[in-house]
Amino acid sequence: MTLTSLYLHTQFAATAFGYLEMILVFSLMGSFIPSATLFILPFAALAYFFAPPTFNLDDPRDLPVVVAFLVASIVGTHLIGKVRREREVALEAAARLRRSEAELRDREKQWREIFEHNPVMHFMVNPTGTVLNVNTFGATQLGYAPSELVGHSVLKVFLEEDRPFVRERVGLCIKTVGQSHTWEIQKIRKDGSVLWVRENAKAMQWAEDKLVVLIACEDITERKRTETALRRSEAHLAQAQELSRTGSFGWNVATGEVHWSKETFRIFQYDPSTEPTPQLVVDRTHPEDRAAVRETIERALQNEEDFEHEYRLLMPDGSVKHLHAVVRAFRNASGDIEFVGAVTDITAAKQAEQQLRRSEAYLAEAQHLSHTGSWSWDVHRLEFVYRSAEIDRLFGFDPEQAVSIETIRSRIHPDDLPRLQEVPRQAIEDKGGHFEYDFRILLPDGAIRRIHSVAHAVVGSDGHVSELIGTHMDVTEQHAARELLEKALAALRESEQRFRDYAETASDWLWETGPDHRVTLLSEHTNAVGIPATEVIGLLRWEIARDVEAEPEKWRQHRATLDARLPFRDFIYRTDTQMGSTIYVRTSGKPFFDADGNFLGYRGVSTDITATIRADQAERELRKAQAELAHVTRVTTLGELTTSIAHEINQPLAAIVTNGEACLGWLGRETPDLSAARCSVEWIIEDGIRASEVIRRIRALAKKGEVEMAPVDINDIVKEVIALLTRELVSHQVSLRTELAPALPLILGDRVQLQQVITNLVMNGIEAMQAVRDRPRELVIQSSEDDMGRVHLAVTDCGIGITEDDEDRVFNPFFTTKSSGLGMGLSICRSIVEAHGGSLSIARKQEPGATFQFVLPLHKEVVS
Amino acid sequence: MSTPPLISIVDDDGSVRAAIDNLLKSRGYIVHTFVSAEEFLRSPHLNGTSCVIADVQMSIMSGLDLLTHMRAQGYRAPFIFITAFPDDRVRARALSAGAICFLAKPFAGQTLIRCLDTALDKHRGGASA
Repeated sequence: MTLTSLYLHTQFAATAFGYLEMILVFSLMGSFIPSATLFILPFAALAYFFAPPTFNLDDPRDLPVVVAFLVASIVGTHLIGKVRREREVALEAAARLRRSEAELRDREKQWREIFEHNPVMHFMVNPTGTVLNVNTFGATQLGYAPSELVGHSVLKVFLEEDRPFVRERVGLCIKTVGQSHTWEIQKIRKDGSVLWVRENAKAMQWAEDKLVVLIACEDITERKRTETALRRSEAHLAQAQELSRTGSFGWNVATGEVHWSKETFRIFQYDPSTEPTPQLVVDRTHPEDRAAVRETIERALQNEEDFEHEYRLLMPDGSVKHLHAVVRAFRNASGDIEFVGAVTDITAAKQAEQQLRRSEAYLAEAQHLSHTGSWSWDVHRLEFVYRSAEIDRLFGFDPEQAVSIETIRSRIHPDDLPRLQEVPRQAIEDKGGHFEYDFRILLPDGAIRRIHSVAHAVVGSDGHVSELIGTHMDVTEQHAARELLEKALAALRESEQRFRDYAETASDWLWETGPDHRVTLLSEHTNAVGIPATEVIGLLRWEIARDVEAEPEKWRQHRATLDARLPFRDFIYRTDTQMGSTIYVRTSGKPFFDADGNFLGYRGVSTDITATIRADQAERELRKAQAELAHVTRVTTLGELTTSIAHEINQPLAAIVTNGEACLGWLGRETPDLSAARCSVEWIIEDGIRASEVIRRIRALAKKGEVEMAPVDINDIVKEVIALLTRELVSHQVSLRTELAPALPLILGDRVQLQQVITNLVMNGIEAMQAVRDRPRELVIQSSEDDMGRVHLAVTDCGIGITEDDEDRVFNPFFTTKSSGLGMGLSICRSIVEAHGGSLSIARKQEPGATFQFVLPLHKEVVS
Repeated sequence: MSTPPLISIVDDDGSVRAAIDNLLKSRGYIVHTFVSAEEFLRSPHLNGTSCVIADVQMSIMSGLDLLTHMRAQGYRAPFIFITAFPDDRVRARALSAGAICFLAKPFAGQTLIRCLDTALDKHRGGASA
């Protein structure tokens, strides 16, 4: 500055101003004095030592400048100094403030750390319950970030049911500002789990008179859990005692103090308010067990030792309880002997044990009876884990001995062994399964037992099959029965087929009708006769028939039979075929029923008998003609017999007339002989009857009527014929010999026609003997039963016999050797005998005489 | 009156035999009956018989044979024939053989009595002659 002033030769005032500015600038750097000194000293030194004085203070104009310079520098530096001081104070204050701020921040951070991580959950909520603040620990404990809770209702972390309580508590805090409240409550974590907390809360005034509630929560979950567990275990204990029917007790022998649990009272049936004493136990004990109980207790007292015993109680209602008591003896803190024990009501167990024992016995019995054994097989060790007694019996094992796999295999039929070994293999492979199989046991004596086995696999905890459990049932008998049944069924099927064959061959078709008698089934054979099954199914028989109107009675009877569910046989009806021709059907049916006896319909067979019917009709015509011819022949015979007949009638008539006259004679006497007269009249009556009998016989022979088949005794017919022909025999001097077998079976025949046959044979015999002069004329009539059970009748004469030529013709119509007669006799006789199912033949034809004979079958009912 | 006449009846028909026996007894005759000619011929009454009433048709020995046989033996008792076979040829033979009557059954009792009376008269006459 000085050099510059010198160089420029500035005026002093300007230089002084420059210096003033310099001084002011320096004073800004520190205090005025040092700055002025620091400034002036170098300046003075410089001016003094190195430069001639430039300034002259003598100049009066410079004085004010000096003064102004001085004043200005002093004032200026003073002001600057003051300002500087003030600034320094301010700076210092600012620095202090800055320092204290940092300190505060540190403290706050520290507190916040404490607040955030204090292992207590802190919540600050406003009166509406909105969370204003929450510490990290609190939020973390609940599984939230603090931001997730702040601004939300605090109720969010409470159970729904606890929320009213929380509201009420917060309300209470607000009502009682500054007062602390404590409660325990559950909180829900974000993940839904629950924790128990003990909450300490109070409301306080916040800035601007706002109320906030501060809540500190302490996690007491563990304590709660412990508490709950304790309570539960206490409850469990009580329950366990009750359930296990186990009571506990304590007995301080020295003090006589006795403690019983609730269950103990219950077991002994004493009121829980009763003072328990050992005597109560003795009182309840069953009299039979009392001495033993007393002895046990005394011994325990003496030896101060644990004991265990079972005894019975006799309850007031007379029931008996079984108890099991376990007692420990120990010395307590006071050195006294104390007994602590548990007494269990084992009545149920005892009963169950008995039951079990009984069940086992029953099971064994049942297994024995049903031939069923149960077993368990270890599939890895290949041995029985268990086998019931019945298994041993089935296999013939010794129950006392273990059986080796070889022994077992040896008892199984070789053919069945692979299948049996397959079962466990399959079970192991499938890791389970249910098996049912059959096999045969081969006993050492060679007998075979058939076994039906059912088994299932037992799967262990490792998921692998460990055992097979099952039963073996001896089905030998069932098997035999089934085989028998199958055989029977096969036979039945065969038999059914056989009968079907019979039915099908014996008839044209088979049919079935339902309960309503409508056709339900028709074998296909109907098509052959022109009745398609489809046309007939569903119809009633009387809808199929065409003769219902013509023969109402036949159908009425048939329907009555059906209604009575009776079988019917050979019912014949007429119907039309599809082609319109009339056919006759013969049908037989039988009702069938289900197992309960319900009527299901009829089954039967039908045959087209049109041809037979036609033949029958022809035969009926023939028979009719034959019958007429037979009648004519009979009448002719009667004509031939006229003389004999007249004789037969005249005899009784003569007797009648004579007796009548005799009667008159007896009455006409002087003394009428009434008894003789009466006798005469009686004879008259007898002879009258005799005469009418002769007439009856003749009329019967002359009768023209229907053939009446009825059971008859051939001997009776022979006798009637003889009665009619006696006179004929006499008049021809023929003696008659009869050899009639007694008690002949009946035959079915027409009496008149058979009489006609025999009459004819006898007449022929008489005729054949007409020429005999050299020997007695004898006619023999023989009846007998032949080897085949038929009735045999023979008429033998001793006449002229039959020539070879005539033999073939003798039965021909119109053949005769007589001068009179139609020559129809033997022809008619043969027809009649054949119509009776018999045969007429010549047994002997050469002299002396001939034998004509016929055989007749027996009357069916007599046969069967 | 002398001993009453003895009448013998020979007929194989029991009814007729009994009826005639009855009739004659009612008229007071003494009567013996026989079932066959053979029986009569063996009878002790053969000789005392005043009249024989015989059936024509009988087995073994007929009425006519009996008559022929008796006449041949010298018995003179008159014969009355009765028959249920009124045959003209037989009738003729009978009458020619000496029969008093040939009656066809049935006959009136009176006719028989008349015949009998005739026969007895003849027999009595014959006996007395």
